[in-house]
Amino acid sequence: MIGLLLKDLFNLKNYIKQIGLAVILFGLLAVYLKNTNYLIGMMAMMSGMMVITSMSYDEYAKWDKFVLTMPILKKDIVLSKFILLLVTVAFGTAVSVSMAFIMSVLMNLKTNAILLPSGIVALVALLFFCILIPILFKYGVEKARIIMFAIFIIPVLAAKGAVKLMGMLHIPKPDTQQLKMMGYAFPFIVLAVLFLSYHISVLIYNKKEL
Amino acid sequence: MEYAIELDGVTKQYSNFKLDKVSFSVPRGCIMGFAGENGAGKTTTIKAVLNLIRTEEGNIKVFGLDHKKEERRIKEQIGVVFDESYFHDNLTAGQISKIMGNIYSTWQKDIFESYVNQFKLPKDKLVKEYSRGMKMKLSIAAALSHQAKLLILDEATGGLDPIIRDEILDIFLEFIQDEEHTILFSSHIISDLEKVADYITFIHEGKIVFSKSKDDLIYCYGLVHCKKEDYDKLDKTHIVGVRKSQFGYEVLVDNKRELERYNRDLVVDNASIEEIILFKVRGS
Repeated sequence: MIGLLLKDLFNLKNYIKQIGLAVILFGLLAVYLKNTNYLIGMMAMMSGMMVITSMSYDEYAKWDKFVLTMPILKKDIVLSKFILLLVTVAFGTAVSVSMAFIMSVLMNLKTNAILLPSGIVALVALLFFCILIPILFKYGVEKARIIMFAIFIIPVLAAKGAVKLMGMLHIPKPDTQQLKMMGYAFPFIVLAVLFLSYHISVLIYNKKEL
Repeated sequence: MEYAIELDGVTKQYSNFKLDKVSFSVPRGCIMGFAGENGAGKTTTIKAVLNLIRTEEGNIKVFGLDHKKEERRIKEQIGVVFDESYFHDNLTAGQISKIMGNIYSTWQKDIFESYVNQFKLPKDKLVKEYSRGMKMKLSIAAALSHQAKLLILDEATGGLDPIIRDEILDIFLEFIQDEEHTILFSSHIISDLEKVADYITFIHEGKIVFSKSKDDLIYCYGLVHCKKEDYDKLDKTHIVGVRKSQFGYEVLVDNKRELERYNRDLVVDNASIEEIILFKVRGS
């Protein structure tokens, strides 16, 4: 397992450098807008994207066919990608939160509104990639790219549609208490999706012939 | 006899190809040459042994263990080299050693380094800067650096120039000096197999045509150069294939010794593995 993660980190060296550059750019944008939200959001997504990049490198090198001749099982490969996702999103969030905090102090912005949005953004990123990873295992990175945009767009459109529908049917908007409850439930929902996504990915990948 | 690999009735159906009840065994301590033309089923068979594909029928054992139930244990002890290197382009030999050290419990960093030195592989260069020969040597170095008892080589020498091929064959011969070591060597370059293999298994259109020791093949098979009258007198049950030309008949027989003893007026030459295979496939 450590070998697989090490391989990903060695391969992602250049990508990590690019993220570093993006951090600087979004940092400058945050200074210009006097708002650190973009930085936090983009960092979470870009960190999560490392999983896709690593899978694309593996696919290009035909690595999986080779590594499965070693004492590595298919479920190990799946697990390594989920660990990579958790590590990168956690690391990306930690970096962006630290930066946002420092920048907010320097720009005399409120610092109490950083942690909660960062947590939500990290969870949304996790949710997004948890839905995407089984698709990546099923169809490969190239085909999954198109589906990836659908995963991005469909929930946004669905949410907009739901709000409109609620307005049309005169369903009252959820009050603060209900929103709070949803907020508390969100991490558990993401955890459940993560668990489910891992098992579905293992099932898909076990059926795949290399 | 102990076997490193045993295949019994292995069947795999694709839409346009079938691996049909493949059965053969690779004795421990030997090099088994696995011959066949492109698309004959060599790689599919190897993939089945490595559990990379699902088979519909048959049993596969490696070191006497079920290849699915004991997959991890088996794969700890085998080294595999494919027809190309599957290491990522952006890795260096040093990084590969670190990765492998965390994959194999028996990884020998020093041995790997000594192979890297022996093969004159640049340590700081990225894999993408390696030549094809260097990439293959890197794969072989990795396969030999974790105390593997079985090497599975799938067209590992294909596409390499004769000098590098010869160098690599010598490495395989060195590996086999340990009687616990075994090699399954798939190639369509018969001369390579002829040079190093103790046994030859020949697969054609998904079916095993023969699986015999090289000595047996050389001992039994012979090429008779004769005229039509002599050909008519030959025992047809021992004729494997015939080639007719304006100079006469070229007949591959599987009773060379018998013919040499009882038909002294016939010219019976030794048949090379390549000739045996060509006659089996084309010489009817």
